Amino acid sequence: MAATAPTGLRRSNDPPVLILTSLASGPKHGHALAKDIEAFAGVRIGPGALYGAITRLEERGLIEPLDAEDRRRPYRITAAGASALADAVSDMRRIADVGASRLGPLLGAIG
Amino acid sequence: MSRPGDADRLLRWYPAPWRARYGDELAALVEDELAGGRPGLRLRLSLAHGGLLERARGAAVVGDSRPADERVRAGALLVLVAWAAADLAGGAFAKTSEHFGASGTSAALGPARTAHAVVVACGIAGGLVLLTGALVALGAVPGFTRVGGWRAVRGPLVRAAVMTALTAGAVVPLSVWAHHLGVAQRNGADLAYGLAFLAWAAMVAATVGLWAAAVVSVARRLELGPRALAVEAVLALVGAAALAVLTAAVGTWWVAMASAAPWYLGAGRPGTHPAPVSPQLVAIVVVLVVATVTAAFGASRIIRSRGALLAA
Repeated sequence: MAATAPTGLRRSNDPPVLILTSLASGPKHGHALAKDIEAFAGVRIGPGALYGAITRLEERGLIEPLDAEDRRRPYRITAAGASALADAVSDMRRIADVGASRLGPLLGAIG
Repeated sequence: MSRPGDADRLLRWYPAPWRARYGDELAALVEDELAGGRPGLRLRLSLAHGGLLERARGAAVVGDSRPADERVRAGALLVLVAWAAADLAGGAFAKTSEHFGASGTSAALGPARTAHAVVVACGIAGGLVLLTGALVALGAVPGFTRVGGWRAVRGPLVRAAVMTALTAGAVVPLSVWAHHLGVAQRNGADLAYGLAFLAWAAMVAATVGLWAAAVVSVARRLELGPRALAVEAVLALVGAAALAVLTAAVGTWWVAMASAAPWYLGAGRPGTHPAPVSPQLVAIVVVLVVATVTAAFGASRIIRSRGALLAA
């Protein structure tokens, strides 16, 4: 079950985590975010879910808007957002490490 | 090909304040996604879901972005809306269970009589809770009208009043018509009368719905003090509990009648055993279950938010 961190981020493939991960490589507007997330995570986020997550992230101060370019407003990750993402990534890495260490002997036995 | 304004039309699901902040950029995203094509079902559903969620968040029904007092008030209003729906189901239940006491012996109908008494008691308790809640909120009404609140709620109140007048007016010709019909004709044998009665029942449902919307519209704008809000919260919790008991009692009555006098439920003759199911009873129970779930959600929101309210 996905746990919720104080920043509202979960350890699963939730849109907020995916958006912060995408913005970690630089500011992007909505369409660029959706394309990038689809490319690196294989997850297609609909416009409704994407902007719902953007709204929550902005409210929590984890991302901030930049000046709009022809109605397309880019967002960038804030220091608080980077810190929240680091915590989420650390959680995910810990689980991945445990999974890998427990899977090793199992795969060895099968092989 | 997408038509100009397609994206803007799709954004109507979102509340106006949200559209003022994010509407342009979301419309640009939708246009980029469409790339000149027509909006598909998946895109429409995504925007409808997102828009309704933002409306629910704006009304403090979901999420934790609104202050705790607004979340408590939203929870109480959910219980109020649930009771509005339960009132309709209760009216239909009163009609469905009419004269059930004459359908069998006192001993056989004992459990059904007890369940029916519980339904009536819960209905009265719910009415008293709503009345007390209205009296508590009444103190904030003068302040509300002084600051021009009437203008904001005039539309919903006028719509509810007009619908009430139409529904009341329709009673007269319907009663005259019914007066010239026999019992069998009034109970389904006369198709035209049956349709007219259904139309009137729909008008009653619309009247209750419009009044619920009007009351919610007013209640959301009232300046309630902490003490009044706490009383409303407790009343809502009592109301939610009463609704849950009422729903359980209706279910119990159904089971008891199915066991003691199934012919009564299946519209058969005494001594026969038709399936103890009627469309009215199914509809009543479905509405009551949905209302109970809604009230339970409102109650849980009050309980979770009251902690934050007290901490603040």
